[in-house]
Formats: sequence, structure tokens, C-alpha cells
Amino acid sequence: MFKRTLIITLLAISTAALAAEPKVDTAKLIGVLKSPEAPLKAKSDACRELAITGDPKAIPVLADLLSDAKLSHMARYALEPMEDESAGAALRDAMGNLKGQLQVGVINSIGARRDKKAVDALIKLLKGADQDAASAAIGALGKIATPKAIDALAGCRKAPPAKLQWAVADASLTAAEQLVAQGKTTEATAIYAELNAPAWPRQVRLGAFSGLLNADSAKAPDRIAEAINGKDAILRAVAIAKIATLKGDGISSQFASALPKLPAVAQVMLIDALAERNDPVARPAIVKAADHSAAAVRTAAIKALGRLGDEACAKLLCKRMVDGKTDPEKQAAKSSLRAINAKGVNAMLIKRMDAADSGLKIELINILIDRKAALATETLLAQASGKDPKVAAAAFKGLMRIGSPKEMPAILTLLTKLQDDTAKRNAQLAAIAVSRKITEPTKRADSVLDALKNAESTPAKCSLLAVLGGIGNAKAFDAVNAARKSNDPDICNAAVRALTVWPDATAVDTLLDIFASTKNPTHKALAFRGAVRLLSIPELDKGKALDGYKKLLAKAKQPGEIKLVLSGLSTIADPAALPMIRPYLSQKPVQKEATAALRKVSKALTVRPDDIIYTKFIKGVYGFEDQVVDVTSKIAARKNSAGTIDVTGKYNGLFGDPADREFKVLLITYELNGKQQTVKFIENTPFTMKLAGPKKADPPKKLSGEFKPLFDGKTLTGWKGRKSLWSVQDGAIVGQTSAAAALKHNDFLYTEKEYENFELTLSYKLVNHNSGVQIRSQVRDDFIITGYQADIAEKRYTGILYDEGRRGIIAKVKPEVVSKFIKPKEWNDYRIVCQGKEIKFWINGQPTISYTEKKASIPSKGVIAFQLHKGPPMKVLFKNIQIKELP
Amino acid sequence: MNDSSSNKVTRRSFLKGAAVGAVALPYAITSDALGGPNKAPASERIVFGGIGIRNRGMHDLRWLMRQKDVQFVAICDIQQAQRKRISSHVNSQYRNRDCKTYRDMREFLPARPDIDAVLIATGDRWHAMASITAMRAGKDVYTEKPSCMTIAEGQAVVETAERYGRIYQTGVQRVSEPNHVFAMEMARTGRLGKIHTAYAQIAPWNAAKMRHDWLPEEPEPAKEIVDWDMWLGPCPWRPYNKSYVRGGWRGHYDFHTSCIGEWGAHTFAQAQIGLSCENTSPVEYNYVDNDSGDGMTVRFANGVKMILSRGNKWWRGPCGERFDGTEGWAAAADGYSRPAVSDPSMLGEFKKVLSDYVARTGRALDHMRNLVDCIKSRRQTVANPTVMHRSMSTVHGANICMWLKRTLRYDPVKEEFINDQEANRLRSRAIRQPWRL
Repeated sequence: MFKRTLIITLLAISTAALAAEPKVDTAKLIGVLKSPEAPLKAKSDACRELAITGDPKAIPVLADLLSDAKLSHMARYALEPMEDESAGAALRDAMGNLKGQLQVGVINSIGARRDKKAVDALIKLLKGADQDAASAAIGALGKIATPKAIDALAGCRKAPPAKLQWAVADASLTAAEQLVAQGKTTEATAIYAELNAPAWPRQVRLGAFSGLLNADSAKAPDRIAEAINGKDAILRAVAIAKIATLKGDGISSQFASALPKLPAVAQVMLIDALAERNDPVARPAIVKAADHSAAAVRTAAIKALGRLGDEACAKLLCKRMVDGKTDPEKQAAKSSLRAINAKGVNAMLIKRMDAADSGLKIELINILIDRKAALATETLLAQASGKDPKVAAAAFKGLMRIGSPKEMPAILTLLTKLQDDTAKRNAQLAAIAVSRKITEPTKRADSVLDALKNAESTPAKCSLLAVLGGIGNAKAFDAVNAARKSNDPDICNAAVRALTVWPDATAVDTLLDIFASTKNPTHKALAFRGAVRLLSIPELDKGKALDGYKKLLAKAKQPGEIKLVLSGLSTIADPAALPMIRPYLSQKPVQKEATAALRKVSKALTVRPDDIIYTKFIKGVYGFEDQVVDVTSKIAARKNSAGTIDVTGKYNGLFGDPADREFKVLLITYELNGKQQTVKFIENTPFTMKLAGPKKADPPKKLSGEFKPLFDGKTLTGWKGRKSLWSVQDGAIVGQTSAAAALKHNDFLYTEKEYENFELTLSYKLVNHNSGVQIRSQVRDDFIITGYQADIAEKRYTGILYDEGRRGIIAKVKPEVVSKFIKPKEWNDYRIVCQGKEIKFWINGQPTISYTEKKASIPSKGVIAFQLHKGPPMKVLFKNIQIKELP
Repeated sequence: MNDSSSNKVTRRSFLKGAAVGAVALPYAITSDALGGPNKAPASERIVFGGIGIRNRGMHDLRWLMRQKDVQFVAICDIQQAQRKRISSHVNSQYRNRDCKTYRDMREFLPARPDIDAVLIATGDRWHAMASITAMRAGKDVYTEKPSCMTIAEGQAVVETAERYGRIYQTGVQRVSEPNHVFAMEMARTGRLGKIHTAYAQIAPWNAAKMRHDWLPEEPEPAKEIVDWDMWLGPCPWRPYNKSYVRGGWRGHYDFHTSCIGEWGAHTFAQAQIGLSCENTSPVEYNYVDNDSGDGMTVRFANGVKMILSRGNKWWRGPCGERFDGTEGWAAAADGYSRPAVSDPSMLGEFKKVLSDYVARTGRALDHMRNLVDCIKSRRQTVANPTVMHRSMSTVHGANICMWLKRTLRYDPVKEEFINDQEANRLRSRAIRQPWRL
């Protein structure tokens, strides 16, 4: 728990967890405790360590400290938990020598240790002038509870001074508990009986009464009966509560017969207690109580019958379900029927359904379901094919819950015969649920496939296809795909629909195909929805999901379609989703969904959503429930020169803590396109607000100036480099080295012009090894360049800021972060902004480094260059190179 | 001594006759005493006092005062500003001047036999000792969580409540909230199959490691303003610094139960109830080498394991629990409109599961209401001393495991660690005089 260093030099010990090893050096701690110069805290801390290690060697020095006004408690802190007998001896000694509060503390520790050897000394303190010491001694004697201690307490009870009354009572009750635990019930009873006298305060009498019931089981029924018939409501309640657990013969019948004479309030409690005893003897009295004039009593009785009712009671409950005079009675009856454990209840409930109206049938079905009554499946099948749609629905739900594979054929038969759409749907759900109970997954669709083969009507086939879609195994997939080729358009539709509800990603490719190739607008729409749904399944590979969404977005035209894709995209926690979402931020019809999707993905990536646009920040409120503070000005003050408000770090640190450690929320009100919106950020979520300038907000990071191409796509005009290594092919600059002509040092292709403040965008493709983009760099001999480099590497350095030929790595980004959004061996987009002292990189829209140059001697103007790295033969390509110069 | 305003004999109390401590009626007899549509008649009201009410306590107080059959009549606090603030609030709510103020609970409790129960919302260090003191004085208790600092304190609360037949509720109010009740019931009634794992969320701030430093010493204020000695109460002495009394005690070993206790007081109770382990303790605490205890597995004798979890892995809100069984899972946390379940069709039973729970247990789905009902019926509350002690015991076990940096085994019947004397010594802390458990 403490750093072990510095104890000898007597500095205050600060935080650290207690190490299991190395072992605590007791000698050092003793040294601290003995030292006159050691500060109070150091000694206090030494006591804490000793409390854990319990080394008896420290006992003498701790014993000395018991008389120290400032350290006595901490000495006890260490001594009290020590098992060693000398700790007890030290405390007993101190008790004899100390006075006042220090003595009180020591007595309390002796009591906590239940130190039998201290009894004589404690008894001496009872008659002393110090009432605080006497009180403490009384408490200790109650805990220790040897016969001598108990005797002494008896003496105290005779005429306790007012100040000691509570302690005497408490100690006596404590001692009595221990006697009961030891089986000395007669002695305990005597103590409780004493304390049950009117001279004692009410809370003591209540405690004593409760104790009497425990200790004196023979007389308990009488005492309870007396209390039940008495005037004290609390005593009566305590007594009745005790009946639930009282041991002995005849208790249930005694109090069951007492039931009718009691006031309604007491009857309710007593019925509860009798129910808890689970003794059928009480049943007749409770059944009678189910007819009592007071509704509360009837309800309690009906509840109790759920616990100890028999078959006849079940019949009564069935009646009360319908004819109960109040709602609570009816509810209680249903509840009890669910729980009642008696023979023939299920059969009775099933039979009852014969004459029941639809409402009652549904209630009975629900009860049978909850009773997991396997017997009921036949009835459920019968009811499911009945005329009443509500009952049928309830029956199907029942089959879903308790149907077994045995019922599958019957369900399928039913399914093929049904006309009503809702009923068909329910039947399908039941079939699907039942199929899941077939343990072998490959067999789950078998009976459905059989039924499909034999089905005659188209509607029947369509229904069965829907079931296959819910089951979703390989055999089902084959059958559904085969059905797609049918000439019957209804069957085709059903097959496509089945694919859209597939439980896993198996159907995704098929759906995308359908979407891309079909001319049937229904199929196209179905496939669209189905694909969106399946692409967001967590098990699907993110790359595949994004590809799928790309395909869908390419064809999605309606806002409804786009919104659907955006909502699917929002579940993909991958940085590549962000550039897919961004174009829609400026499309009014889908702006809200795009913003929400962006936020959700960013949050999932724990990447700062620095592209969220708010035109105007209005208000910020931070807190929990009604403990909130207005933080508008604090947030507004964070606006920086770029016109954004960045909120990062711990909210409590930024705004103060308004709600004492509750989990707080920051509510931001902002205006977007003239409309007020709010957004909630969970405590400590970093976020950025971009505030609009005088013009309407544009897509982010629009700096002044125009982009100009640095590369014409055909020639190396404007660039200098070795023709043997650098060329233009297929619209890209290609750098390539060979084994035959291995480089002696890194080689570069560089711009003729120099640039200082700019935004540079380009695409690169690294086939292998290592490259990079130099900026603000200096030209040396032999096509050598030195200066800032935006690194590109096969293994780990892509995205870092490397100072080539100068300081080496000067800004890093974790490879595992970057690897999430770059595509190795494929085209990636680099974006580089140099402005004054700031250098920032993005790859594929994701920030990698942000650097501020502190060294004044580093030049800020220089060429842009591409690198070929020495080592193994390598190839790198660059294209779409554009630059926008900045002021 | 009492705040001077409480000694004024008002016209009402003069009319009543005895100034203090006479009858089991609310202190003020006004026409209000007859009750009304939103208030039970005075004779049926449970009379409450408060000990240590500040931020969280204020929330509890408002909740309490919304009950139709409760009257709040007194506040005991070691800080003068708080005495003023709470009594003003109460008086403005009742439109009278009857709320009395006290500084020392040892004077307050015996002086008010008219008070049936107390709301205790002091800092964590005081919860057990104040509850015990109140119950010894014949009061029922609602206390904020975490309700004890050690295993020994928890045991003492259980014994004291039993000894005096008192009704007690610890402030883990989520065990009475619908979403959590649903999740716990789904686990308990077998609808998730056989439960094999539960997850309990621990707080994302602070660590399991605790502070042992002292804040810089400042001059102690007058006792009437801030009674520093009473603020410390049972805890080891340290010099005064105003930060402590303004809530800056979290993270300190003497006053707090770490990030594990901060939410574990809630979530372990929620989890253990769902696991039907609310009357027992784990048999094993498996040490994890990190700052917070995140990922620690504790195992119960019936084979079920509970995993401590920090952050948003299993929940999208705070103070969550989750149950995983052979047939599905269910979870709840703050901010959920409905519980999270493995199969949406389970939510079709939401209302039914809750109504069955209410019918079976008779409990209100409102933690404060449950307490007031139980004060009247003398039945055990949902978050009674045993539930409190056994869930806090798990908190303490987990903390001790982190502090000693080793796996621990525990005997839930003897309530001892097995073959680990150091862990056993950490089950209790010597109480500073004059207080005693």
C-alpha cells in the first residue's frame, strides 16, 4: 500500500499500492515509530502497514503509543487485528493505565477482539466515575459474553444511570444473541424477558420481543398470539412476520385458526406469513379468507394459494380470474395460477378453454405458456387453426415459446392451409422458432423442405419459403435460390423476400447481385433493403460491408434509399466509412442522417469527429439530472484562430464538477441551416465544432486559393530527377529501382519550384519497401534531398513526419491506428498542409500527425520531392498531384 | 449543541404542550394534519429526519418528500451551511418553519422519539456507523451507498438491524427500477436458461488503488461552522482541508471504496440478486494486473462467475449489469429505454415479467416507496442489510485483492479469507474513539 522508499529519510509517504513483495521491513517501521523527529503522518502510515502485516515484533513500540494522544488510535489500528496474544496483553495493560478517551478507545478494541482475559478488568470499570469508560466496558462485556461478563451485565440492568441505559440494553441483547447461538436458550430468554419490561425504551422492548421469539420457541406461539391481539401495531407486525419462520408443530394450524378474528390489516400480513410456511394445514383458512369482505384480504389469500394451493384451489383461482370483484384479485389469481404447483392444473386449464370466450382463452393460453405446459401443445395447435384471429395469434405465440420439433409437421400443415396474412405470419414465426429447437443446425430446414416439395398451391410454397428465410441454413439457401428461378412471379418474390430476412451474411452477395442486375423493381427494392440490413451484421468483414455499401450508394437515388444506407453505414466502425458519408453532409434531404451517421462512426472509432459542421453554437449545459451548470461561455472561450471550438480532456476539469461524481452529460444546442438542434455528449467525449464564417458553411478545410496540378499526367515537366529511375506510365509518376543498379543512397524526384505555405494532395501507391513525400526540403548533390518527409512505408512508418537527413522521426502516429485506414499496395490519398509553423498530414481523410516546428533555424520554404529508398528493388507510383498555395 | 433557531419555542409547539420528544405525531399540527388528496392524514405519516444531506441527499430528500405518507421534520449535519440549506428547503416546501436543525446525531436521535426513520446521505465513511447509531436509537433507516467501508461494518449493520427489528434500505435504487428488475428476473426465473456469467460495471473514474496522502492543512473552522472531528467520525484523524467537506474525499482510502465500490455497490447488488447469490459471497477473487480491477473474475460456489467491467464493452450507459445464460442474455444500465436482450421477442414479456414480480414480492417499483411500505408492514425491503452486506462484501473482497495484488479465496459461511492472514486483517479497521460498532 505504500512506497517503501524514503521512510528512513522521514518524508511523508504518498500513494502506492501495497506490493505483495518485497516483504515489509518491520524494523524500519519500528524505527519510524520510535523516532522523535518522524512526522505524525509517517508514524500514522507505519501503523497502517503494520495493521496489514501483523508482525508481533512491533507490538512493544505500538503498546507505547497507546498513551500518545495523537497516535493512540493508529496504534490500535495496528494492534486490533493482530492475532498474537501479546497484542491483547498490550491492550489490557494500557486499559489499566489510561484514562479518558484514550482508555475508551482501548476498551473498544478489547471488545472488538472479544478478549476473554479482560473481563475482570472491564468489570472493575463498571462502577467507576468515568461514565464513558463504563459505557465502553459495558459494550465490550456484551461482545465477550463469558458467564462472568453476562453476570456483570445483569447487575448493570438493575438500575442503570440514564446515560448508560442504551449501552446496557445493547450489550445485553448482544450477549443474549450469543447465548442463543450456543444453545443456552433458557439464559437468553431470561435476559430478553427482563428487557421486555416497560422500564426499557420501546426499541429495546421490540428487540427483546424479537429475541424472545427466537430464544423461547416453546412460548413463542403464546407471545405471538398475545402480540397479535394487542394494540401495538409494530409489535403485532413483528410477531406476525415471525410466524413465517417459527419452528414447531401446530404453529400453522394455531395461527390459521386465529386468522378470522383479526382485523383486516393483520389478516393480510398473517396470510403472507402462513403462505411462506408452505404448510397445507393452513389452506382451508386461507381459502375461506378468499371470500372475506375486505378486498385486500381476498387478494392476499388468492396470492397465497399460488404457493400452497391444491387442485381444488386451482379451480377456485380459475373462477376468481374472471369473477374477482377487483382488478388486483383477478391479477393475483392469474399470477397464482402461473405458479401453483398441484396435480392436474394444466389439464384443468386446458379443459377450461372449451367453454371460454376469446378473452379468457387468451389468458389461459398465456398461463399455460408460462407454466411451460407441454400438454398444451395439442390445444394450441387446435386454437391456432380456430376462427378467432386474436386467439390464434396467442396460440401461435404459445407454440413459439413452448412448441417442440414434434409439432413442426402440424404447424407446417396448418401454415399451408391458412388464408389470413397475419395468421400466416404468426405460423411462420412459430415454425421458425420451433426449428431453432432442433439441435442439429443442418437438419433444421428438413421438414420444411419436404413440405415445400409436396406443396401444391403457390401461397403454400410462398409461406414455406418465408420459413426457410427465417431458418437460414445452407440447405434452405439452396432451395430459396432454386425458387428464384421459378416462372411463377409470386414464388420469385417470396424467394427474394426470404433472402432479405436471412439471419446471417450468406445471402449478402446474392442480394447485391440481384440489386445490380434485376429489372424487376420490386426485387430491386427488396434486395436493396435486405442488403443494407445484412451488410450491418457485425460478423461480416468490414471491408466487404463497405464495398457492398459502395455498390448500393452508387445506385441509390431517392433520399429514402440513401438514408437507409447511411443508417447501415453508421454501424460500420471503420475509418473508410467516413469519406463515404461525408459527401452527403451537404445534401439537405439527408443531412441529418449523414451527420448522425458520421458522429456514430467517429465515436465508435474514438476518432475526433472533426468534420461535424455546426453553423452556430448557442448553448452548453453540463450535469446530471437537475444538477447542471451553464457552460456556454466556457465553451465559447475555446474558439481558436481557425474558427473551431475544440473540446477535449476531462469535462470536470474544463467546467467544474456540478454533480458530485454522477455520470454527467453535456447538452449542446446549436443552429444548423436556421434550425436549432441539440446533441448530447457523454462525459469526456472529445468533439469539435466548426463555426460558420460570414458565408454559408462549405465542406471542411476550405482554405483560400485554387488548386493547381503539379503533374500534367504525361511528362515530368517541372520535375528534376534521374531518368533511369523516374518515368511516367499510364498517367502516374513511377519510381523504380533494380537489383542490378542498386542505390548507394536514397534518391529523389523534386520540383523545380519551391513552396512555403500550401495544401498538397496526391495519390500514391507503394508496391514495396519505403518511400515518402518531401516538403519544404533542400536539394543537395546527386539528387539527395533533406528535410521534412511525409513517410510512406510497407511496414510501419506511413504517416509519420520524418526529418530526412536531419533530425529523423519528429512526429509519430501508431502503426496500428494507421493500418486501419490505409490500403497496402493500393492507391491511397495523402493530404499535406504546411502553414507557418504547422505541418499536418492526412491519409484517406484520417489525420496522422499534427506538428508545430519550434526550432527557428529550420527553413520553411523548399522543394517538394518523392523518395526512392536504398535497399531492395522497389517501385512506387504517384498521381493526381495538386497544390494550393496559401498566404 | 443545537442550532439556536431550533430552541425557539414557536407558537405551534407551545400549543402542543411538551416542547420536545413527547408524542408520535408530526411536530407541527396544522390543518395539514388532516391530510388531503396528496397527503395522508398526519396520524398515518411516517416521520423522517435527515443526517448529512447535500447533493445526492437532496435528490433523495425530494424523492422522499413526494411520498404522500411522509413528513420530514429535522436535519442533522456537521456543516452549518448545510443545516441552513436543507431546513430552508424543507420549510419552503411545507410552507412552515418546523424543520429543526442539529449538529450531533448523539443528541439529535434520542431527542426526537417522534421521528420514525432517518435518511442518511453523509459521505461513504459514515454510512454504517450512522445507520447503526440510528437503529440503536430505534429508527428505521434509508442510507446512501456504499453502505459500509469494511466487511466487519457490514456484519455489524446486519446484526444491529436484526437485534432491534429495524427496517433498513440501502440506496441501490436500480434494484427497484423496471429495466433492471426485468433483467434480474429474466436471470432468476430461468428464461435465459442456466446462467453462467454475469457482468457488473465499475466506475470509469478513480482507480482501485487509493490515496493515502493528506491534503495541505488548513485552520480548522469553529465547530458550529464545520465540526471537523465529527466529520471524521470513526475514521483516522488527519488535518482539516476544506476540500474534504466539499466532496473532495473520493479516492482516499479512509473515506472511499474506490472505483470498484463507487458503482459496484449498485452493480454487484444487481448482479448477485439476478444470480440468486444475494445471500452469499464469492469463493474466489482473481487478481488482474491493471489500475482498476477491470476484467476481474469472481466466482461463486455454485459455479457462476461475475466479471467486473469498466467502460462501454457491455453497456451504453452507467451502472449496468448483464446476465449470460445458455438460452440468451439480458442487460440493463442507465439511459436505456428498454433492457438489452439477446432476442427482441423477450421484450414482448416486459410488462408481464414486471407484474409477476410485483405480484410475487409485493414490492413497489420505486425504491423509496418500498422502504415506506416496509416501515409500515415490517417486511424486509428489497435492498435489506443482508443484500447490502453481501454485495459490499464482494466490493471489499475485490478491493483487497487489488491492494494485495494476488488472487484470494474466501469462505462465504465463515466470512474469512482462506490461508491469507493479511487479507483477513483487512476485513476490519479499528474505529476511532468514542465511536464503536
